[in-house]
Amino acid sequence: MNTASSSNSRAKAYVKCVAYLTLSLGFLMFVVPYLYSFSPTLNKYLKTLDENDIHPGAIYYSDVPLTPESELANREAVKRGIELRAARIK
Amino acid sequence: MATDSNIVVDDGRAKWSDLWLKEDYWAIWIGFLIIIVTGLIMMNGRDEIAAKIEKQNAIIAAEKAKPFKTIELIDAQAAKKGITGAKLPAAKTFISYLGKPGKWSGNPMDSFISHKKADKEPAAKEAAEKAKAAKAAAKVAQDAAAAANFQNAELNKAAETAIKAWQKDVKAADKAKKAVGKDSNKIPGLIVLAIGLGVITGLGMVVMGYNFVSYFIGFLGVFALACLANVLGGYKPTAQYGVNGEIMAIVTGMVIANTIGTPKWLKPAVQVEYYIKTGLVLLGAEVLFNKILAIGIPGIFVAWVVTPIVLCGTYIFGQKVLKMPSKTLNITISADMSVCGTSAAIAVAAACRAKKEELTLSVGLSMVFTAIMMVAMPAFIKLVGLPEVLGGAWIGGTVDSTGSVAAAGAFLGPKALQVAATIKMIQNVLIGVSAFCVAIYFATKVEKHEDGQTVGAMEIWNRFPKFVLGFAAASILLSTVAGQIGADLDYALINKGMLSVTKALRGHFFTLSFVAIGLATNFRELAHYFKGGKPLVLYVCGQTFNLGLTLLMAWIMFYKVFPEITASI
Repeated sequence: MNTASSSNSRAKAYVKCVAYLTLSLGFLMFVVPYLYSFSPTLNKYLKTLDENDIHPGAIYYSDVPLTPESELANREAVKRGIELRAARIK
Repeated sequence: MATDSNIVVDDGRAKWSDLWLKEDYWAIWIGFLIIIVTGLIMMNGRDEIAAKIEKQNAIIAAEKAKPFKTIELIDAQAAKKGITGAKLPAAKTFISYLGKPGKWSGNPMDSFISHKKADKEPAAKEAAEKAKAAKAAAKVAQDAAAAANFQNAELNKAAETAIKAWQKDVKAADKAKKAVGKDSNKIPGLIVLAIGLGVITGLGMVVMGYNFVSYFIGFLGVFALACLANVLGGYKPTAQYGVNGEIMAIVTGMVIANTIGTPKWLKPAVQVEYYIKTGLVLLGAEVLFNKILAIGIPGIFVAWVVTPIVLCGTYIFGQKVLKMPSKTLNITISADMSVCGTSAAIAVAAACRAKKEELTLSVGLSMVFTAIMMVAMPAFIKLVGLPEVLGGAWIGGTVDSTGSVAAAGAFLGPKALQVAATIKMIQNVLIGVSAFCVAIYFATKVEKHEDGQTVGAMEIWNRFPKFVLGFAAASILLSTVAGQIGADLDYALINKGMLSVTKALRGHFFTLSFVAIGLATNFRELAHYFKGGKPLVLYVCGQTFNLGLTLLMAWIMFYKVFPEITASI
């Protein structure tokens, strides 16, 4: 009896596990895209991500491929900005 | 060792044996082993790389004298960009074992095994030939301009136009080539990595008094779950909303722990602190102080002046007004929201010894608001007509996660992306200082003696989380080396060399730790922290303050104090 009820509760636990995972993944994979499909702005946003190969889940600057180029471009801009300021002061 | 598995508590005075018996120190030894091995590989190839860079620099210097960007200049700049430490033979071999499951959309096995798309090859070939033809045409136009000694404005303009057309075709050819993909199989690499990391971390566990076999077996299970989490996090349609491997690791772990229960054989490897601290020491190698000047003084003010004010202000608000019951939860949420999201939350939570549930709650809150802000902010900025640079600085200083900042910036425009990504990078560097200061504050002020006595220096040392020293040391070491070797070698050997290795392993350790957090988290205990909604109120109020102050500071610095820098972007 104890063995039967413990294997029953074990089976229920596995079902719960699969159900929770399915629900969470289902929400992310189907509900959210469905909601996004109503907005042209959101769709345009997703297209921009795809074009720039950006992963919004990246947690550090070294995980975003565009960062080194952005850094270089800004360093150049700072150099030009300082030269411009110096020229204006003169 | 700790009796409360939720947090690690130093159980007495510091001893020499701590160097091999405490996991803080093992995190440092393992982290530095990786950093030193990688550093030696890079330094071994330094001369070869320096020679290649010098060759391209000579061409660049000669070509910059010409009135427009010539073909040779562009080729030399592209060649220089391609000179990286990651391409050194030893580094390439090492890196080939570090990849995690990639992105996929139809078949989950695509995250492990990819094939060349033969149907896209003809288009890629055509695009490459078009780019070649455009280059030939650009060369003809450039030669015509050169024949007139670059004195003929019309010929110069024609050459510039032809070169721009060639560059456009090159971008299209690169995109077409990328669409073809390549044959790769990550499974053998992942197996080798699992065994390698299991052995290295297992060695530490054995010395600390654990059983190697039971740990190793458990580790393989945790690693497998981490791979599963990365597969789930790599699903393209959900990855677009900010879902990543770390989040799926927590979800997967929590679902297992709260339904079937964490299996007994996995438990010896559910070592949250061990993995997080090792990951943080490796993260220290990416905290490079030379980055903070990337966008000049405006960047420093937006990222390094506003952020500490918001962090401290939110923490004080949480303590004095909201009366948050947990200081560690308060500081973790404050850091997550004000600094840079998940990475800051991890560092500060470990530094103040926050509970696993507090880190989970903080990361979860951040994820929800980040998903909203990364879409709402660019839309709002466009609606009210804020300038792109200002919008980019605002996004960079307020949206939590780095990837979401890039996403929001890209949606606004190229200048906004450039500024946003750089501001967030500068904030990322603040993690080191934040974690260090939080560790000191909690060791000296928060963890007081029960009898109310002030804490002496030795006691501060006893309580101070030692892995923070490894984190700081890695940061100082790499920052110093980066400063010494010059910008070109810094880019080639550190940014595109050492960090290719350390960031891959850092990612693996963080995913392992989030799986472990999930496996050790009880839903009921997590729900307890939501009571009263104080964490939510703290986040919202803090973020509102952050939004206002960042916008004001960005406007002042970029448009009133340094408009020349803004004009040059």
